[in-house]
Amino acid sequence: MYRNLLENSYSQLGTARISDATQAFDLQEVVFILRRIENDIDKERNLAQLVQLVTSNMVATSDVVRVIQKDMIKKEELLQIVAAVCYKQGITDLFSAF
Amino acid sequence: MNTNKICFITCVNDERVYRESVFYINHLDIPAGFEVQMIQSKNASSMTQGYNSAMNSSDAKYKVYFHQDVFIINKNFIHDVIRVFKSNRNIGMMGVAGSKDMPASGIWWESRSLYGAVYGSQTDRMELLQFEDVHEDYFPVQCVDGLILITQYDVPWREDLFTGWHFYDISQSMEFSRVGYKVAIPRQEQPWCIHDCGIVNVSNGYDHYRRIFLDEYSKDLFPLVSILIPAYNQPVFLEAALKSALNQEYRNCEIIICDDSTTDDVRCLISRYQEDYTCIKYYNNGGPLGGKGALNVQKCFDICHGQYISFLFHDDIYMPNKINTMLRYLLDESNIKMVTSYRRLIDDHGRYLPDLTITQPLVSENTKISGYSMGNFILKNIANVIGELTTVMFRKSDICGYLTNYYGYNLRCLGDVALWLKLIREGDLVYIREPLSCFRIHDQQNTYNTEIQLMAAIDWYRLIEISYQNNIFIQNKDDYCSALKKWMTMHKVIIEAMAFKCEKELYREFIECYQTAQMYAE
Repeated sequence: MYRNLLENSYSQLGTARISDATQAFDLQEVVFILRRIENDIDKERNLAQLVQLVTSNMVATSDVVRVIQKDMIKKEELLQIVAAVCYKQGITDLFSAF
Repeated sequence: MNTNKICFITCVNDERVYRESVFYINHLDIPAGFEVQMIQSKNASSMTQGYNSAMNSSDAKYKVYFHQDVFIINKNFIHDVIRVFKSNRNIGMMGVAGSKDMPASGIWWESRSLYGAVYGSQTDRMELLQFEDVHEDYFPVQCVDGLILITQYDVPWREDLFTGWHFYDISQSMEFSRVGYKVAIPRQEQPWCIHDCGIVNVSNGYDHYRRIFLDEYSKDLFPLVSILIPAYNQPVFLEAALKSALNQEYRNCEIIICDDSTTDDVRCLISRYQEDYTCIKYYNNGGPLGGKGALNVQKCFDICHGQYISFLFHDDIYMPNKINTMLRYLLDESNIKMVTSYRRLIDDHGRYLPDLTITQPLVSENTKISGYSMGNFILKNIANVIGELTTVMFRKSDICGYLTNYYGYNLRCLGDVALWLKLIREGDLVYIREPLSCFRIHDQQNTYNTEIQLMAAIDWYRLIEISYQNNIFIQNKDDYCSALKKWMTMHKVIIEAMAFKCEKELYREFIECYQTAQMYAE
């Protein structure tokens, strides 16, 4: 029964307020990356990919936080993991989102 | 059939999301010696067609049918599934969320017995959808949701009926039951799946397939309800009543028509309908059985086979959701002995009439009312606020003896009130605020016949007296006196108005009641 609902989900995601930086990138990929990290699937590689997207301004930190809050399960735990890795890379503005 | 093989089957219309779900399958732990196969069904005309096609093309004993937006996060998923299946050969299919019983609507998540857990985004926000926990290895249920369906036997999907994207899952649960296998939800320490489906959309054919599902499986799922129509001439009204019974959303009904008619009109009308509807059973009484219709009412009740009873007077009509709505309450709680509702008044053309004081809504929302307080209210106010026979639904097994007999007294006119009191002395009732039936007011009714009014007055007196004597509903002298005073106030006018208009014996009996009431009330 849910087959046709997928489009709804992502179209709504698409209409959410997305920062200019992320407009250049596909937010659905951010959802996938964060979900893999959350579920410990190829975690290190996906964390590195996320950091790379943020440092290269492909994705705004505010959008990372927004995706975590809306689409992830272990929201606080995941925010801490992502924030810690970002901090090591000199990205500090993720903390302001807490 | 390869017993060491598991096949993951998906109908795909979004390659990217599907690839992501496959990514999760590729990270599952695979038991030694096990082979994993993946089949994606593209351009399927329906879920059932896609699943049948994939099922028939794989020799895997174990098959996992899942939505493209489902991500399996339990890395021991295959181990867990195989373990439950191997130790329970009678389980045919498992899912992660479902219901122990199916509501009469056919919408599984409206059940009050939901089991399992899944992470889902049905509310547009990812969250845990947690129903009742499963404590043993598995919990047997009636149906499971199609987000993921795991099987150890191949049973054909009903692509002949479910040609879209809905109800293929609930139908498949029923198909497994029909061939003798259990449908179950396994214990999940943590939810096994994420279902990123977004807000639930039921506008794309859901209701169409719900009706097909109910047509096909109602007899498997739901108890038989007997709609009892005691007929007496007036075939035009009867046809409207019959149509309203046939239009019920609830499918597993028998319609019993016992005919007291003095002409052949009703028999001719019903025989036409019987050609198309096998659920109609007609009995011609060869004329009135007597008791002012009471014996015909009793005959309908005696010969019906349903577990649940809903009368329909030949001049009244049901709303389409009457049986459905009422049955839900009776199925849910055995202490609910009857369900009634607000009813609308209609004229002989079916046009709505304003409420009478007695038919105004009793409460502002659906309410469970204790049997004692309702019985007490009815007797102290001399008011049948529950309704007529058409209004109510109850269990057949809750009635002992004659319908209209109250502690040995045979009601002559208020058989319905006697029946209500019999039912609610053993439990509670539910009042539904929504109108579920219509009571017709028309010229050919004999409600205002003087003899009937006198019989009703005597019946009310007896109901009060017998209830007090049996310490039921009226359990103290104050209530008894209060009920008698109300009765005298309401019937005082009869003494003058009817003295010379009716049967002397009946009038004498009424006067005796009145004098006794006077004695006690004072």
